[in-house]
Amino acid sequence: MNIQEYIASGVLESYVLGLASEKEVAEVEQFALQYPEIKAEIRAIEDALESYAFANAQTPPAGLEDKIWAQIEAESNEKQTKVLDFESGKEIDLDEKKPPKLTGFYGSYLRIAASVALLGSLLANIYFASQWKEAKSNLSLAVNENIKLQKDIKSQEGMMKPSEVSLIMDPQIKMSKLVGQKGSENSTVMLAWDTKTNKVYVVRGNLPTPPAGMQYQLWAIVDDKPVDAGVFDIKNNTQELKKVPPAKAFAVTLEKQGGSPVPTSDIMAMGI
Amino acid sequence: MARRISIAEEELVSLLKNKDQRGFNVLYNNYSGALFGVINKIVQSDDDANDLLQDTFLKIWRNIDNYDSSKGSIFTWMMNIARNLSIDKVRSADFRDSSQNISMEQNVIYQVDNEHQTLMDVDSIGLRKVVDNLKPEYRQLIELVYYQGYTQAEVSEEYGIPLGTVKTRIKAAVGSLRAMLSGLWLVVAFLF
Repeated sequence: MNIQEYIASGVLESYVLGLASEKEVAEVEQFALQYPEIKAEIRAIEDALESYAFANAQTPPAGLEDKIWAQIEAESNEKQTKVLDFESGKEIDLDEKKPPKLTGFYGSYLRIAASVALLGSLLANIYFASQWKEAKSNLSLAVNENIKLQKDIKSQEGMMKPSEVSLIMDPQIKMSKLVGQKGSENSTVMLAWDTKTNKVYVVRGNLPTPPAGMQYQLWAIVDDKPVDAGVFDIKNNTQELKKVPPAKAFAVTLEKQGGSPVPTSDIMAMGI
Repeated sequence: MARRISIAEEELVSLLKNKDQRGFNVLYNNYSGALFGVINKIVQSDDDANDLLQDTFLKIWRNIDNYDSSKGSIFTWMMNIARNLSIDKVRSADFRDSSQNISMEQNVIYQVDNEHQTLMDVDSIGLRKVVDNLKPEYRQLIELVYYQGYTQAEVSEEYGIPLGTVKTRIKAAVGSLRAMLSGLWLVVAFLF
């Protein structure tokens, strides 16, 4: 398939705008998984339309947020308590789990005795076989659980700490997102700027690890000039940088360890 | 880009899936303005827009498990919910009855007010200037399709252009929007 031709056909715009046919939707979703260029193009179209919606934003009336939250809470209280399966999170129907009733067995005593013996042996076989099977599946469940837990721990490393969440939810904090430039389009740097103290924080700097002896440096664009806002490392934690005046935009460059008085590299990420 | 992101999208989604109230707060702070703008443009009535914004957030909250990030951004998904609820409302019988009672004059005043964007989000003024430079026919096309949910056939009828050309025209409109937004970035890049 020619990816450029596919992008040029306009089908991706139709997809994002909800105009594509079912067949086109399935095809676009398939290609998006296969080709990173197509996924990036979809994201760029989404970003442009999202910016359009944000350019036309209107502030909803005060008090509506509390009203909606009250409605959400009222709804979740109405729901009855359900028993959830710990593993799958699916609801368990308690009535379904009752064992079926056993029916009787008739015949002469001898036949009964012989049959009971045979049945006993059969049942024992089945019992042991199932025990063995269960032990085997328990073992593989335990192994899977272990893998899953390790994955969970790994993904939690990137999660924000409560102190970081409260920083970004502080009303005097203004957030901005810088997007990666040529070569690292999927990178983002989240910034928090304190409107009262003028301190700037890098909340999450998701950029490629810099080469040895190099560090990322943040610049605030003030009066059309870059102002040094400090250097930062790539780690899963918020870093406090320098105080900077209200900036029109921010940009990140790659500089030698400790930073440079003036930007010397290409822009790695920028945003307003 | 220029949206007020306070938290990475993945983290917002995971807060929402865990039914965490902070997820709701972040969601509301970041997106209520843009969604309210969309809804208001479709229904053009304050009372209905308030109700629809409430319905939109309830639906987002209830259906967050259906959101699949591999298929698109969280905003595209939420925007579709807001748009579909609003279009359903406009097409419903009780809405058509009540809007007939509004006089022509009131309607015009409302629209003029709307043009002035008296309620506009302060944060979006810079971005607004960029989008204002979009050619009127491109802006109209984006609004018909993106906001009002026009199909390609309806666009073709509205503009009197062949169905096959609609896709190209839409691509050009979105492309022009993208070029303007990246122009904003070039200004920043020029300083370095």
